[in-house]
Amino acid sequence: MSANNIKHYRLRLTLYKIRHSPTTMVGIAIVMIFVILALFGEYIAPYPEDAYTIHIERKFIPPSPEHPFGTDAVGRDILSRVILATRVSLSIGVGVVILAVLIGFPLGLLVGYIGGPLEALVMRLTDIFLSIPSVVLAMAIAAMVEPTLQNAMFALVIGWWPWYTRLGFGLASTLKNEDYVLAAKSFGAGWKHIVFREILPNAIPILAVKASLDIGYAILAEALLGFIGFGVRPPTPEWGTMLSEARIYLPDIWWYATFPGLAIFLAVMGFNLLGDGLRDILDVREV
Amino acid sequence: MALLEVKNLTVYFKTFIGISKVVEDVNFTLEKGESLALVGESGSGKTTVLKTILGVLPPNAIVKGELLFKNTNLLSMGNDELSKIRGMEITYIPQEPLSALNPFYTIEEHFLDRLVLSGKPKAGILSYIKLRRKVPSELKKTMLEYLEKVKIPDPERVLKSYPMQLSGGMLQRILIALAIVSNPSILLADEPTTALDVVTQKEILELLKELQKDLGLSIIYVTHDLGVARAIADKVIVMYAGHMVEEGITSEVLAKPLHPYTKGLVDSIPKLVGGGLHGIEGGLIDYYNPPSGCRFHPRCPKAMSICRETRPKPFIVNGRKVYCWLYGE
Repeated sequence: MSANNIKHYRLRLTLYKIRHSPTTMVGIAIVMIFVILALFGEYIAPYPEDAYTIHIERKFIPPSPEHPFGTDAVGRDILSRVILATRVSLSIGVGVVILAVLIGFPLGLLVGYIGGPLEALVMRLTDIFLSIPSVVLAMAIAAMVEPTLQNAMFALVIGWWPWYTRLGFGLASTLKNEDYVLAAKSFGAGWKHIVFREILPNAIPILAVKASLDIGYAILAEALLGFIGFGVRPPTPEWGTMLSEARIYLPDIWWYATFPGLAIFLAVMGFNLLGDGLRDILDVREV
Repeated sequence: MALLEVKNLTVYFKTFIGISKVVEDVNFTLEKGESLALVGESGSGKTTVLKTILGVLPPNAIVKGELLFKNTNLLSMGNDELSKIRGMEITYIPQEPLSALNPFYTIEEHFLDRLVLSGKPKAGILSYIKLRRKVPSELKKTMLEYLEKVKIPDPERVLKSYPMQLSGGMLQRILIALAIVSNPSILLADEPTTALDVVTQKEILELLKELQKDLGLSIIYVTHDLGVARAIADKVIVMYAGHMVEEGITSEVLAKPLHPYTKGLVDSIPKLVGGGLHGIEGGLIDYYNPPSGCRFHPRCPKAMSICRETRPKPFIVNGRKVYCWLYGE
């Protein structure tokens, strides 16, 4: 293997590993489908106006060629609403994880490397946050603020960042004993160089696996907030809210709850399979 | 004036069991261009001495004594002053070449970081990112120059390689090149050849000897291998359990050891002809409750009652320092 094509080689190795892991392929496919639905929902949904308009005359139509997933209590096409809800769920899932990583992870790496009183302070703070069930915390926050997309995200991030601080802390406190950190120190490197140039890149594979698994859980948590009425305000299409509206019509109007539920299930499963696949591809064993 | 003067260096570690008295009263001087070997078995505190000089001890270390580098005490320096010396004037070659380079970066990136850290060129975050995107040709020339200094074949290819693509000997050469980038006056080498095979070992030692002569470097080696010490060091300090036991010219000490511990060490080198192996009875001491007096007395074949009570002073015998009561009075 010559030095020039090692990057090329790595790419090929990655592709090879993906090809030989059917579950990863399924995960990637599901995630890609949801990403496409989130980006182009208006063009894909058969009745995009059904996000907000009511057609009381065609309520509770069971699945049929015109309405493959049936219609709901006010005659809206469920397929369209499930598709249109993808954007809310996905952007909250991805947004929560990105924000939690940005807030929590560098902080964890930093205190893990520096240690001392700062470590005690930050880690006890994360302990306080982690001692409150995150969904309860999110409910409390969501109840205080306007039910908007940003606020739902904000409520979830508050309970989520400490996990990444813990992860970063653990990684930094093991990686800081690596020989290359000592070597960098002996070359005159300060803490900024060591934390962000030596430790961070070696922590990223583990972070990537945890983050991709967490996107699934964030989607689930967001649906839960919607289900108990603290999520995005109706009539904005949202899987959790749709489920809670449909609950009272079960089991007769089975399609009303089934399809939003299936969407949640598939999205969470897709991100989980993707995370599992990444774990194999990046050769990470810790998470 | 000595380049480096170590005076009464004592290093303790505070742990949850108590205080581990790892190094006590180490004294030596290092002149410009001189090479010194710290020899002793594993756990005798030689690496701790090295790490103290480098200033990379963990926070639970208690350090006493003086480390005079060009007559200024390194131990009383602030971080800013220290950073002008550590990595610039005093550099370090680690033991395991493969794990001492970050697996994420090519050799070129390691060089770039090292050059920027040693202030040539000086770069802020933005200019650093620019440098990373495209390494200017004059910097590349400097890198190739240093790689040639440590006799790396095909340096252009090596620059583009990741650490895992190169052999241990190559990586050790690269680490030496990285260490001399800042024109240091002292090189600290922590068992620089332990992880290498014998042939490579010889090549690396010869390279270090050459650099010592060409660049006027002073080198402190830490090694448990008396053969390595004999091959490269002008002066040798034998350590046992954190105490110095003997100090002198390498060839003299190894040819005619005075201290019973040094004798034991030299005797335990396997001979090519005749005789079995000889070792020293017993094992390393408990650093939390070290033996009173001479720390070697529980294992010493010639221990006397004074050895149990009082720590030996350094006695000068044939121009050599021996810390043993056998040579007292």
